[in-house]
Amino acid sequence: MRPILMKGHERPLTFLKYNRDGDLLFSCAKDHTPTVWFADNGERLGTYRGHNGAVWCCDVSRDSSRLITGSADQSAKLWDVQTGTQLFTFNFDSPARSVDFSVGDKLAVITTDPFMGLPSAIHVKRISRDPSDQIGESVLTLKGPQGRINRAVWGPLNRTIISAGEDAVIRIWDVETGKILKESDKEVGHKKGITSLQKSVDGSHFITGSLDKSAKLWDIRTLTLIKNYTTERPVNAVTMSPLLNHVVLGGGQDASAVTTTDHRAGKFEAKFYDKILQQEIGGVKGHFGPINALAFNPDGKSFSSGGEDGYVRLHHFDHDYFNIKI
Amino acid sequence: MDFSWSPADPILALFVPECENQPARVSLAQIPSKEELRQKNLFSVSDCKMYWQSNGDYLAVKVDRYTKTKKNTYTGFELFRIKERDIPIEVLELDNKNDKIIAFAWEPKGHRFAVIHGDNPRPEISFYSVRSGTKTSRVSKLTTLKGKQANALYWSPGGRFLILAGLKGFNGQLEFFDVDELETMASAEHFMATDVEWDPTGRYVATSVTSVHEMENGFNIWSFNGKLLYRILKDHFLQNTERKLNKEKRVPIMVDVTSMGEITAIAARIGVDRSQIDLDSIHVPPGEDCGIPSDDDDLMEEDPLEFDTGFGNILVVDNLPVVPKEKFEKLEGVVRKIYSQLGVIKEDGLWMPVDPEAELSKEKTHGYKLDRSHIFVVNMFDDIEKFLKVPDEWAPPEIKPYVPGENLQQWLADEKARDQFVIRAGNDTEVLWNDARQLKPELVYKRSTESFVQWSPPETYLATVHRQGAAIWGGATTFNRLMRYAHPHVKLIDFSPGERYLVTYSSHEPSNPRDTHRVVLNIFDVRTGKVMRDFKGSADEFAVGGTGGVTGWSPADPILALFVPECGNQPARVSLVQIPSKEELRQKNLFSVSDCKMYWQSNGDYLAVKVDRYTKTKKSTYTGFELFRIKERDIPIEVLELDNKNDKIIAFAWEPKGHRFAVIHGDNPRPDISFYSVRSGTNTGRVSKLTTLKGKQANALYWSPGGRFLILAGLKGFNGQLEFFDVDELETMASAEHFMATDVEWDPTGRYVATSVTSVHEMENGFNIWSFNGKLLYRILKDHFFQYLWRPRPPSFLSKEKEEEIAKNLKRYSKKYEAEDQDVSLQLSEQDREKRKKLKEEWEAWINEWKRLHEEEKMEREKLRDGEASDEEEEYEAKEVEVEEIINVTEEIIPFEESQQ
Repeated sequence: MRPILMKGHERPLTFLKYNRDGDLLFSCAKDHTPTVWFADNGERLGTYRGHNGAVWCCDVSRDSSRLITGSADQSAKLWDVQTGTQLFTFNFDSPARSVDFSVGDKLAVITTDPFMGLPSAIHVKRISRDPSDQIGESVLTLKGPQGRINRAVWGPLNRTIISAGEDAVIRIWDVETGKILKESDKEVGHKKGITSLQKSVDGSHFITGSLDKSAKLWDIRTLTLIKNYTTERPVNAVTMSPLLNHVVLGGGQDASAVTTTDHRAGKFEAKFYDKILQQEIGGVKGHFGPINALAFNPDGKSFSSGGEDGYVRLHHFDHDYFNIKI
Repeated sequence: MDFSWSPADPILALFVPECENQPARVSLAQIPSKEELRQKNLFSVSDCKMYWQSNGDYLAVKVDRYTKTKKNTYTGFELFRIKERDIPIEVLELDNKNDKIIAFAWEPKGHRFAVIHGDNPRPEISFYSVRSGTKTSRVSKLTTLKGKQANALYWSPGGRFLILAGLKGFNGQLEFFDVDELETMASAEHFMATDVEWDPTGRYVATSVTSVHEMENGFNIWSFNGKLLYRILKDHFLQNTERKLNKEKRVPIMVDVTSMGEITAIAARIGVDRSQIDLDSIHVPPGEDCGIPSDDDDLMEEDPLEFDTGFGNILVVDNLPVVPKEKFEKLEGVVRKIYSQLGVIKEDGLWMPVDPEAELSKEKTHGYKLDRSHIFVVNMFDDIEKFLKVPDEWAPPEIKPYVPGENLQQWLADEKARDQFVIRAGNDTEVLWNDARQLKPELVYKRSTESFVQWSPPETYLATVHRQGAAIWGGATTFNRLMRYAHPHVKLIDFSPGERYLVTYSSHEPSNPRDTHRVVLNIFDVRTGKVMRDFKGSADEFAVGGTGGVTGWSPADPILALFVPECGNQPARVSLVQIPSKEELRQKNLFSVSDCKMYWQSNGDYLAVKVDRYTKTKKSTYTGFELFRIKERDIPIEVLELDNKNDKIIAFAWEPKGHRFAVIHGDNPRPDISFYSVRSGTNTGRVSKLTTLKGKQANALYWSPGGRFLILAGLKGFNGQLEFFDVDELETMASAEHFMATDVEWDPTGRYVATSVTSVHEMENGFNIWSFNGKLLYRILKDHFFQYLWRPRPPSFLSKEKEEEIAKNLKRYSKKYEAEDQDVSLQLSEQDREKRKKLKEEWEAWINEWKRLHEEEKMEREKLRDGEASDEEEEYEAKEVEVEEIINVTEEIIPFEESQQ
C-alpha cells in the first residue's frame, strides 16, 4: 500500500511511539510540539503544547492516559493524553534526552545530557496516580558514563535499567543499589556511539543501533550478544516487528553531509532484516533525509518512520509481506 | 584579558581591555617583583595580539582599533624595545592601514619581522627592521612583495631565511626567501601541504600533508634554499616533529602549591580575573625555570657520543728499513712527514716498533718509494687481522641440498577452474579466489603493503611495491616472498612479456625548473634478483624522438606505428615501421591534423588511427578514422567517418581478438554508441556499421576478453550505470547500476566482471562481482579500497583448430560441468538449510528459556500492575465486537383502507 505521508512537524522527527492498543501514534520532533495521530489513517488528533525546545523522546502509559516527554528545554513533562493538558513538569539543569515508563507506570526513567560542565545522568522519578500528588524529587540518580546517554529503558520487573549512549557501551544498572551490574563486551560490542535502543514486545531482548553501521541484538538479562546486523550506513533508529521475526534499521549519513551528496548515496531506506538469519530482506525508500525514528504498530501490520525531512511515513504492509520466505 | 611571557626574561606583557572609565592598556610587568616596567593606554580597541621576538628584545603588539563610525577596524602595531633604556614605544602603521593582517612573524634572534597583509587571494608581504643601517632607533620598511599566494610565515630558526607558505586554500605554494638579500631563492609547491617545519639547525625544512586530507599524505624534505631533497608518502600521516624540538622544556607550574595564594594576590593587584586563566596554558620562558626543577631534565642530557672503538683508523706501515738506534729519530721524522700530509697524526699516535719487524697500508703510500730498495706496503690494521684468520687449509664449500621450489603455476590447476584476484584496501593486500558458485570470495593470502601491487603478465608472480623497492610473491597455496629488488623510492615497475626481467623506475622531480629531471631505471633478472642493467641520469639523456609524436607498438608483431606531426612543409603522417629492420611498411600523409590517437586490435590485425582535423576556418575540429588492415596484402587503408563527423569521440575500443569495434560519440550527457565491423558478412573488404544505440549513459567501453560481450559503463559522472551488451545479437542482456563505480575489470576468462568503487570517494568503497550477462553475484564492501586486479592467465596452449572444435562440441563438454554445478548448488542449499535450521533452533531454545523465566515472574509483574492480570501482553488480539444500539423506536399506524377491497 502507498505510505501515508503525515505532515505536521516543521523540523526533523526525533521519536515515534505507538500506544499499547496500536490506535494512536505519538511523534516527537525538533519543533517544540509532540503530536498524536490516528495510527490507521494518519489523521492528526492533536498536539501537546508547552515545551520550549526540541522534544527528544516520549512514552505513553499502558492505559493510554498519560504521556511523558523529554525535551531540550531542560524539562520532562507529563501530559493528559486525552485533553492535552500539562499535568506536571520535571525540571533539570540540562536537556532531557530519553524517557521511559516502568512496568505498571509507577516509575519513569529520564536521562539528561552532559551540559555546561554537568555530566550526563539517569534520573528515576515516581509517577503518582493522581497528578496533584506528583512531586519532582528523584528516587534515584545514576551518574558515571562519559558522553550523552541516548536511551535508558527499564529491565525485567523494573529491577534494572539499561542505558546506552555515545560511549558505545551498554550498561545494566541495579535500581536498588545504583550499581552497574553489567557492561557490554568491548570486543563484540559497538565501536561507535549508540543512537537507539528498543526492547522487544515481551521484554526478553533488545536491539541497539549505532553509528558504526551495525545493529545488535542483546539478551536483556545477561547482556550477551545474540545477533548482529551490518549495514552500509550509520544506524539512527531500530525497531522489531512484534509479529514476525523482522528487525528494521533506519539511518543514513550525517545530516550535515546530506546536501553534499546524491540522495541515492544517502541510503535513506528503512531496511528489513530477518531477525534470526541476520539477512537483509528488503528496504522501504521514501524519505529525503536520514531516518531518525522508527516504530512498529503493536499488531505488526504497519510501521511508521520519521525522517530528518520532517515527515512521518505510515506504511501498512501488503499481504505479500506476511508471506516473505527467505 | 590577554598576556604573554617574554621568551627570555621574567617579563610579562599584559593587555587589559577597556573597563568602565579606564582605557584599555598594554603593560609590561617584571615578575616576581611585580614592578610595572612600561605601559601604554590604547583607545577604542577591538582586538589585540602580542608577538615577542625570540630573544625578548622586542615586543610587537598588534592593535585593531575601531574607526570613528565603529563599523570598521584598522590595524596598527606598537613596538616595544625592551632592552633599551625606558623601553621606547613606537607606533607603526602599514602603508594602507585598512589592510587585514594575515600573519606576523619576528625573525628569530633578529631585528626584522615580516607581515602578510591585504586581501586574499593575493595578499602582500612587507618586511620591516627595527634596527636598520644608521636609523637604529626607528622602524623602517625593507620591502613589500606584492600579490603573493601566501598565508603563513616560517622563519628559519637562525633567521635570514623565510618561507612564505600558501597552505590550505593556496594548495601548498612555497617561496624560499632570503631576507638579507631581499630576493626569492626558489619557488616550489608541495601540493596540499598543511604544515611547514624547519629543522632546529635551519638547514632543512619539512613540509607535510597531514591526514586532514585523504590524499597526498606524507612529507617532503627541502634544503633551506628550496631544493627538494626527498619525498616520503605515508597514508594517514599525522605528525612530523623533529626530534630535538621535542625537548621543549615544560615546567609544571602547579608544583609549588603554596604559591597559589601569591598568584591570586598578583592577579588581584594587576586586575586579572584568575578564574579566567587556564594555568596549564602558561609557559615559563625558555631557559628560566623559576627555581622549579623540571621533571624533563634528565631527558635533556645528551646521549654520550659514541666513538669508533675499532682499529679502522689505524694504519700499519710496513717495509720500513731497519735502522740502527741512532738513525731511528730520523726515520720517524720521515714517516711523520709523509703521513702528516695525508691526515692528522694524533699525539702519541705514532708507534714504531724498535725491533726490526713490521708491515703497513693506505693507497697513497702503498708503493711509496723511500729509496730504491724500500717500498712501502700499507695495509689496514683490521685487514691484517682478517687475513690472519684465513685458515691455512682449504675446506671444500658446503653444498646445500637441492630444495625443489614450489609449483608457482599450481593455481591454474584449480579444480573448480576459478580465477584469482588481488585487492588492496586500507593497509591490507588480499589475494582471493572468485568463487562464483558459492557467491563469495575465498581468501588465499593476506598481508599489509605500502604501495601498489601488480601481477606479472603471464600468471606467476604478484609484485608489491614498497618504499625500499619491489618484491615478488608466489607459491602453490601460500604466497611466499620469492625475491626482493632494492630500488629506493621506486615509482613504477613492469615485467618483460616473458616475465624474465623486471624493470623498476623512479624519478626525482627537480625542485628547480632549470634542473634536469633525474630518473633511475633498474633492470632485474626476476629469478635471481640481480641487477642486469641500470640507467641513471637525467631524463633528457634517455628520451629519444621528436616532440609531439605518437607511437604505438603492435601487440603481436614487431611493428611500430608512428605519427609524425606536421613539420615545415612536410605534412603530418602516420607510418608503420618494421623493427628492427626499420623498413616502412605503409604510410599515409594527413593534413591539418590537430590530434591523433592509435588503437591496435589485440591480435595486431587492425590498427585504427583517430585523427582530429581542423575545419577550414581552423576554429573547430572534426574526427575521422584511418583503418589499417595489417595482415592483408599491401596493408589497405580505409577512411571511416562517423555519420555526424562533428561528433566528439568519447571512447573507442576494439573487440579483443575480433574484427569489431565500438565507439562512443556525441555529446554528454547522452552520447550515442556505434558498432562497426571490418569484416562483416560478405562485405569483407569494407567497414560496415552494425548498429547505433542512441542516447546511452556511458563514457567507457569494456569488451569481454573473449569478445562478443561488451559493457557500456557510465562511470564517474554517470554514477556507475552498467549495460551488458551482446554484440553478436546486438541486444542488451541486462542493465544495472553499481552506484559510484569507478572501475570495471573483466576476469581473464570473460566469465565474470568486477566493478569497483575505489577510494576516490569516501563512500560505497568495495566491489561487485557480476556474471558476464549482468547478474550480480556478490558484493563486498571495504573501506579505503584502492585496487582490484584479476590474476592474468597465460595464453592458451590449444591451437585455433582445437579451440574451434571445443566450441562446436560445447554441449558435450559442458554436460559434465553443468552436473557439477547442480551438485554444488544442491549441496549449497542443503548446507544453507542446515545452517538456517540450526539458527532457528538456537533461537527457539533461547526463547523457550526466556518464557520459562518470564512465567516465573508472572505474579510479580501482576503485582507491579496493581493486580491487572494482563500477562497476555504479547498476544495482541483484535476482536470484532458487534454492538447493537436502538436509537429510536417509532410506532406508526398506517391506515388500512378497506375500501380497496
